[in-house]
Amino acid sequence: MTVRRAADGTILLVGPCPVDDAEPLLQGLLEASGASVDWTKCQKPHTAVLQVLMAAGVVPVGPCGDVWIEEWWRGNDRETQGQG
Amino acid sequence: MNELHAQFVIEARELVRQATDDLIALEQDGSAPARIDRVFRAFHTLKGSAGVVELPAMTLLLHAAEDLLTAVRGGKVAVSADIIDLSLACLDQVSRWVDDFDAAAALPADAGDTGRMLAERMRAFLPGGASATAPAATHEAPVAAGVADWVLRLIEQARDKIVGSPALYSISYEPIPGCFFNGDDPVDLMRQIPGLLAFHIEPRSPFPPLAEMDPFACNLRLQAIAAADRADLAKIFRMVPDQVRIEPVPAEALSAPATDGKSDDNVALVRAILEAQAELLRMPGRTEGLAGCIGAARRVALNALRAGGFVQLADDLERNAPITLDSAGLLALIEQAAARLDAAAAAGKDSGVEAPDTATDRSDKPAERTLRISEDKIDALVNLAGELIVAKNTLAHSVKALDGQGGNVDLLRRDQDAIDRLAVELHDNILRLRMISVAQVFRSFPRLVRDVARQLNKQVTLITHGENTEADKTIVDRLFEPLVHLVRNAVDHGVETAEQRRATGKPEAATITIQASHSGDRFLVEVSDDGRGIDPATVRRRAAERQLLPDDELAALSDEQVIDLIFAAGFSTAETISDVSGRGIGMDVVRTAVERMGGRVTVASKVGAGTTVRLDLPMTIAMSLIMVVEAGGQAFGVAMDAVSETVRLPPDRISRIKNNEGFVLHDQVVPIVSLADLMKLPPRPAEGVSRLFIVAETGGRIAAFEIDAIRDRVEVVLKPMQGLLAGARGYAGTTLLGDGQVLLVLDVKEIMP
Repeated sequence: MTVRRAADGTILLVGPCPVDDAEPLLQGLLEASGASVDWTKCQKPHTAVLQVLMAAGVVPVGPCGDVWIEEWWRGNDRETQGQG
Repeated sequence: MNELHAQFVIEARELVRQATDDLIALEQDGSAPARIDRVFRAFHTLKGSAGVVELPAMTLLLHAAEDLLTAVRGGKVAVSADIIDLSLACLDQVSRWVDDFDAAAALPADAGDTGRMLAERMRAFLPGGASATAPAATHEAPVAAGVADWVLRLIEQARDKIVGSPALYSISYEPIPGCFFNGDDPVDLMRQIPGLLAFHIEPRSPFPPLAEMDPFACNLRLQAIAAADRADLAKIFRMVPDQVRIEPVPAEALSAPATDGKSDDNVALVRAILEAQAELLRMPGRTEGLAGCIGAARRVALNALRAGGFVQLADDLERNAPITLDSAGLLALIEQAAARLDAAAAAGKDSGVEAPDTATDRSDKPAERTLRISEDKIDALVNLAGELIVAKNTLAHSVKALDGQGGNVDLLRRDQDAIDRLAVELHDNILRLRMISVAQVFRSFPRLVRDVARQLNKQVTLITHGENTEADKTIVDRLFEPLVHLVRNAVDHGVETAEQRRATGKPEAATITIQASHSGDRFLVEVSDDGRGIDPATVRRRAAERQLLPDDELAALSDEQVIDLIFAAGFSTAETISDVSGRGIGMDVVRTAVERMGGRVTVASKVGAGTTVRLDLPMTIAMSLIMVVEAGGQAFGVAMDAVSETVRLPPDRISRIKNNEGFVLHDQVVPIVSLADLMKLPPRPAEGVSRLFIVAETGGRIAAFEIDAIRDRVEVVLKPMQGLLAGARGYAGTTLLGDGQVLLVLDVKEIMP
């Protein structure tokens, strides 16, 4: 299990986040709407995990522990916000 | 959607309409050079506009159309019906795209392919442009041919990463919803792309609320641009070839115009639009539809100037050119604006004209501006004004009552008169807000006539008169359906084939005229053709076959009355049922639709000379003039337009035939119906005195309704029967009288014996 809850309510994504993490992440976000997500220690988040973040409209606290995601996802966020 | 986009949508629609009109005129006129120029210019302006809002698929298609028209203009290709068909299809496609763009601020994903296919068909008409070579020609198109908008967007993002002109590929990957269960990780595949330059991920359809989300159903679209080897890319996506599209990015897409070059294009485009309007106004000897033409030219010029950012010029033009200006005056002003535009372009920012997009002081806006108001708000006003009319009638009633009690009501009556006048005027003005011209309805008919005539291999010229005639929006909107039936019928049944016409000494091309006009407070629309006319004998035979009427009744009908039977349900005189004008339901539908609007439809026809169908409609359906009559001690309303006259007759004028009574009026026998009997009310016992009748005529039948008295004539807002009474037959609706009484208004057509 790599989806954890910090003492202040922040949801932490730690280590590799495989497809199975999408469900606990979704649950966590449903239980505490508006909770922030920290992915500074996250590695290789699975598409399903990323999709939950997108659907929730969450911009995680970064930088993302995954360099590729950090490089490409940030651009995506910026662009999405720019369009909205 | 920004202002430039919004303006584009408005103008593109206008240009599509104009180009459609011009194309149809071109086909009719033959290839008159001025006509071809106009068509060409409309396409050219459209292409320019599509370029400004960066819709490459539309630009590509219009570019092909423009090339074809250039060849036509240069005499290299002769105008044929196929070319007109294809050009119209091109406009239809553009029109659909404009709708898409309006709704979603983007063209559909398949726009590139659709545009390319249609463009190839157009290029096939060009000399040496056989379809086999067409694809090659497409690749050489100077625009970013058929490149999807997202590709251009991503390239723009990655512009500073692109060095030189490498071979680029666009990758669009739409994983199937169940892909996670197959063990796929789409983002991980994108991660493996070598030479990745841009990456974008978006939901395929909007995400549901989080609580309803299935975290394991993939709803994503992933897009990327990469400078890579195609084989490498194919290898990465080898497991999902059905879900991914890898396409080379054409070199032209890399040189897509940078934004700073745009203002020059803008000036040229605005200049071209102004010139097109000036050209329109310069056309000599044009009277028909001129007013509409001036209005449209003024509007287009203003829109173009505003969209281009020349707000000051637009405001000046709007201030100096009132809507009522004549064509010469407007032409001078438009030419002046064009000259100032040129001066501005030449002198840069030093001239008196501000450069585009410069902030302007807009505090001294001209007073006259148009407002777009939703129909609901207008309807709320209409209803309020209707209530005011009822209150006004109540006041009249109170004044009368006071007067009857011997009070001095002079002052009160004076005030009442003033309120009457104001209320009626207010109501009229509010109703006028809903008045629109029939031009927008008429506009679709040249195309319809052309298509139907071509389908039936007939030659038909359509003439429209009175496009600027106005009527209530509801009436104009509802007019379309019956008009379509009438016009289709005219082309299908009314008009003969060219051979038949030649044999009878008529010109080969038939003429169909649609004409709108006002007559008093009525709104008349006529559809006439110079075709074969309706033969009463044929109608009689057909009516007998279909047993529309008992034989003796049929025999008693005059020829005019027989022709009227074409409006009866289930009647069709066409020898063969065609797929153009249905199966004998058309004219029936026309009558129903027109009567629902409170109108009447009549037909006049002469064998060999043609047929005219006349729709007599109210100008608005909000108010109706009602006669309040009394029968059996109760008041009823009768719509004034159903009453042809009221007569008072001495007993000796009335004859009795068996159980029925009747009298002769204008050489016609009119049967008498007692309204009290009909309503199951006690009849008036009086004998030997003169009797009062209202004579009503509808659907070719006539009857005199006996009444006790005529009370009043009032203008009312008719409310349809509601609730339990909704199904009650014989009533048109109810209205509230001044004294608070609810008046039942009779539907004369239904109570007619």
